[in-house]
Amino acid sequence: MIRLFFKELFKMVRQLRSWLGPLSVFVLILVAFPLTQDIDTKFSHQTTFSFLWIISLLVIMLSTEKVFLEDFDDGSMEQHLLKPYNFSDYVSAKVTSSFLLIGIPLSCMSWLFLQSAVAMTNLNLVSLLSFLLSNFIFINFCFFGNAVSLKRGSLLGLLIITPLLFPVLIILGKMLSAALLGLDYSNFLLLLLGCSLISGPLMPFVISYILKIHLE
Amino acid sequence: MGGHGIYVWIVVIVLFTTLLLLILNFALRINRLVKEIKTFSQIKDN
Amino acid sequence: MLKKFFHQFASPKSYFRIATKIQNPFLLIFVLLYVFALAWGLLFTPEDYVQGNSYRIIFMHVPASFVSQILFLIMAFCSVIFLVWRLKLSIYVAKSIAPIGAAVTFFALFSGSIWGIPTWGTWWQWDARITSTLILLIMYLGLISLHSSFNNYEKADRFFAIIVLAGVINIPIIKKSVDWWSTLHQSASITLTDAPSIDPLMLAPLFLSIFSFFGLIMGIVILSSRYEILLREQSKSWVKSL
Repeated sequence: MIRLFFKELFKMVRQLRSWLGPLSVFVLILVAFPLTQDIDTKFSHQTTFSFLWIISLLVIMLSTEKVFLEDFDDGSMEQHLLKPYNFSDYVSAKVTSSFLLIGIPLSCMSWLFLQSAVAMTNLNLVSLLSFLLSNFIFINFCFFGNAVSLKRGSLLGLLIITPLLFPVLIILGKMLSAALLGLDYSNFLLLLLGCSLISGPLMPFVISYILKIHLE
Repeated sequence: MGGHGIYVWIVVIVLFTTLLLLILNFALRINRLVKEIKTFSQIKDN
Repeated sequence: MLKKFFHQFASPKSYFRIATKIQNPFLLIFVLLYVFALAWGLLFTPEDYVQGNSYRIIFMHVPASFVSQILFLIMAFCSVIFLVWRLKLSIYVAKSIAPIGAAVTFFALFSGSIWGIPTWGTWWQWDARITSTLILLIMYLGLISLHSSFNNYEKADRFFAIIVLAGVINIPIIKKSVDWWSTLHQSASITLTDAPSIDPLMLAPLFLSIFSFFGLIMGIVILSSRYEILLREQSKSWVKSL
C-alpha cells in the first residue's frame, strides 16, 4: 500500500499541470484580491478568511476535475481493480497525494497571505489548522463528486457535493468569530477534526464503491 | 396592519397554480405514454 | 406467507393496480380537506395582533416546508430499501418524489419570502431555516439533474439512492449548524413538551392544513409514481395489456 501511495504521488508530481496549475491560479487570485480594494484598506478578518476558504474550495474543485477520468479512459482503473490490494487503497493514495501536493501548499500560501493582509495576533494556530483541515475535507468531497459524475463532466458532481460542504463552511466561520472574540474555539476545532477524521477513512470506501458501479 | 391581505392572495394563487401544474404535468404525461404504448402494440400486432 | 404477501405487494404491477384505483378518490378527498382547512384559516380565524392579516400565509407556508422535509425522508427510506433489497418499486417511487419535493420546497421558500415582505420588510434573510430550506431545494434539483443525466437507468438509480442517503445524513447536520446563526425566524411555536405559544384558534386549522396538505401531496406522489412505473416497465406484457 505504501508502494502504491508513492507510485501515485510520483505520477502526480510528474504531471506538473495537475498541481502547479491550480497552485498558480490560487497565487494569481491572491494577488488580484487586494487589487480590487482601495490601496490603504484594512481588510476585515472575517471577510479575508472566508475569501481564502472559498477560493481554496474553488481551486480544489478545479484541480480535481479530471482526477478519475484519465485513469478510467485509459483502462488503468480496471487494472487497479484486479490487483491484490483493496480498490479503496488506490483511492486513498490519490486523495493523500492530492492533499500533499495541493492541500498543504494551499494552506501555507493562505497563511502567508494572512500575515500580509491582517493582524494575526493569536490567530496563527487557528488559521493554519482551519486551512489544513478544511482543505482535506474539500479534497475528499471533491473526489466524491468527481467519482459520481465520472463521465458526465465534473459540474454535476460539484452541484451535488456543494450543499454537503455548507456545514463545514459554517463551522469554519463560527470558529473564526469565536477566535476573534478571544473565546474558546476548541469545540468547533474538534468538530472540524471529527469531520476530517470521519471523511478521511470513510470517503475512499464510498468512492471506490461508486467507481466500481461505473466500471460495471 | 390589516391591509396586507393582498400578499395572502398572491400566495394562494401561486400555491394552486403550482399544484395544478404538477397534477396536469403527470396526468398529461401518463395519457401520452399510454397512447404511445397502445400505438406501438397495435403496430406490433399488425 | 409474509414473504409471499411482500413479494406480491412489492411488484410494480400490483402497486400500479392499487394506485390507479385509489388515486382519484384520494386526491379528491385531500384537495377538499385542504381547501376547507385553508378557507377556515384564511377567512374564519382572528387577525394577529402584530402581523395583521399577512400571518395567514402560515397555513400555506408551514405545511409546505414540513412536507418538503418529510418527502426527503420518504425518499431516503425508499433508497435504503432499494439499496438493501434491490426492490425496483421503491426506487421508482423515490425518483418520482424528487420533482414534487423540489416544487413544494420552492413554494415554501416563495411563500416564506412573500410573508417576509410585510413582516420583516425584506424578502430574503440569511437565517437558519431559510438557508437550510434553500440547501434542500438545491439538493432536490441536484438529484433530478443527476438522474436525468444518465443513459443507463440501473446506474442512475443506484447513484440516486446513494446521493439521497448522503443528503439525508447531511440534513440534520445542516440544520444544527445553520441554527448556530442568529435567527430571525420565529422559534418553534409547537414543541413537544411545552404548551404551544400560538393561539389555539389558529392551531386547529394549522394542524388540519398540515395534515391535508401532506395527504394532497401524497396523492400527487401516487400519480407521479404511476407515471414512473409505466415509463420504466414499458416493455413488460402487463403494461401492454392495459
